[in-house]
Amino acid sequence: MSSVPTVLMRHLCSQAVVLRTFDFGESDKIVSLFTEEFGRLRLIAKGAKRSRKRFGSGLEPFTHIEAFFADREYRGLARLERCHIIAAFPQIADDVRRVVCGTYMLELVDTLTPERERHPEVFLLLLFFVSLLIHEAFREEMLRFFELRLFAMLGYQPQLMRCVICRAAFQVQHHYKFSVKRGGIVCPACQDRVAELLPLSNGTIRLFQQAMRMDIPKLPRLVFSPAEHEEGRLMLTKFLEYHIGRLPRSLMVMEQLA
Amino acid sequence: MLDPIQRLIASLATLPGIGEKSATRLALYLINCPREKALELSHAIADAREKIRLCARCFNYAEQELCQICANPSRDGSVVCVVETPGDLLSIERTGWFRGTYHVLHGCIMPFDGIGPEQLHIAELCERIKKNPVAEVIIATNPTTHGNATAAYIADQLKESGIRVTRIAQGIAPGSDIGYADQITLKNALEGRRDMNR
Repeated sequence: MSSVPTVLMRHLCSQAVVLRTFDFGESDKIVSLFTEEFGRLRLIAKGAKRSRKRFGSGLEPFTHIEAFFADREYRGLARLERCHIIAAFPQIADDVRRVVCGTYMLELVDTLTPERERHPEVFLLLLFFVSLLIHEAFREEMLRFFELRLFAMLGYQPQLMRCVICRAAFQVQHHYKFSVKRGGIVCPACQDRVAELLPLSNGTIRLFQQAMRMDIPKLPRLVFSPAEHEEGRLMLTKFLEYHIGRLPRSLMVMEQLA
Repeated sequence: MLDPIQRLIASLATLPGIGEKSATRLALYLINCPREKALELSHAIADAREKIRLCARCFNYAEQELCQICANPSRDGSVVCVVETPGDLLSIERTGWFRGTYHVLHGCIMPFDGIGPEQLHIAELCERIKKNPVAEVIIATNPTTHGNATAAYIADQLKESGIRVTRIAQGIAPGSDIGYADQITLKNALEGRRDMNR
């Protein structure tokens, strides 16, 4: 007699940041969460569209929640049973630029993280930057630090400490360029051997090196000059596009608001 | 090539909220029901697709150049209510209370889906108000993050015009229980409170 393997329903709970939701059928929603304990999860919130009693405004993007869900591992979507709001950031919606900047961060996490892969450090990074969005001091250039640290946490860290061709350490007297395909800086001696190089000044490289070393809460103290920010933005956007094969959609909306 | 039944199922399954099982059930019903009934449905779809267009002023669905609301002289053209979808317009119309006109955006700013101001009828709203100044613009986008962000964007775009821009109230729904309301809803309700003894 063949035995049917029993799949146990696990009732789990984790802190999470709501990445996005979309309607599913008549009354349900599919929710994408980045959880502290289980990484990115897609869940079904039954009846969330029709009744707001169980979830309230807890499923709005950016909300920091405690999510209670039932999960059959590797069997379809987990089922979100209820959630408790730990922190909500409705003020973000008062400024469309902040919503777009914030959504860009959510989209990066949603796109770059595999489902069910635990990354508590990404959770803390995301939560820190989402809470930064409601502060007066938030500047769009802070997104560059989010990108850099997220790439590093997920194994896409650009090499900014040494030439990616000859491995010689960064020296301030040299003029480096950045190779998207090689994933790092190229020293003057090796620049003839690599095609499609992007300009990257030493000031920007050193700022990025500092941003990689600093404690995350101290990152907002770093300041770009407008030229440094522009070349850093271009470099990181090209780097991202190379790895995910397209530009994030929220970036296109950001350009509309420029 | 798909046979007619499979083609019908495949077409029905592209409708929102219809999965393959529902599509199969509907397809079998349409095949078994009286021929006239099925043809009436097909003609109704073709007719609606052929005749319905967007109102040149407010972007609601219309049969003529202007929709029934914009063409109605008894409506108060000095108040424009901005909504996300024609469905939201119908919901407000059902109240029977609002006698102004509308402007339908056909969505809200959704950066995750690549929908920004350029994909909505926001520029047309600003142009409309510039040409025919109004007394008030009521923003009735949904009270969600994206609906609120869209409202903030529109208010910002109309700031220079000096026109009164208002946002629909947000808070506790009639018949609900304060004990079950989340903190955001309660905060909105407290912020939007109004005097009772004036």
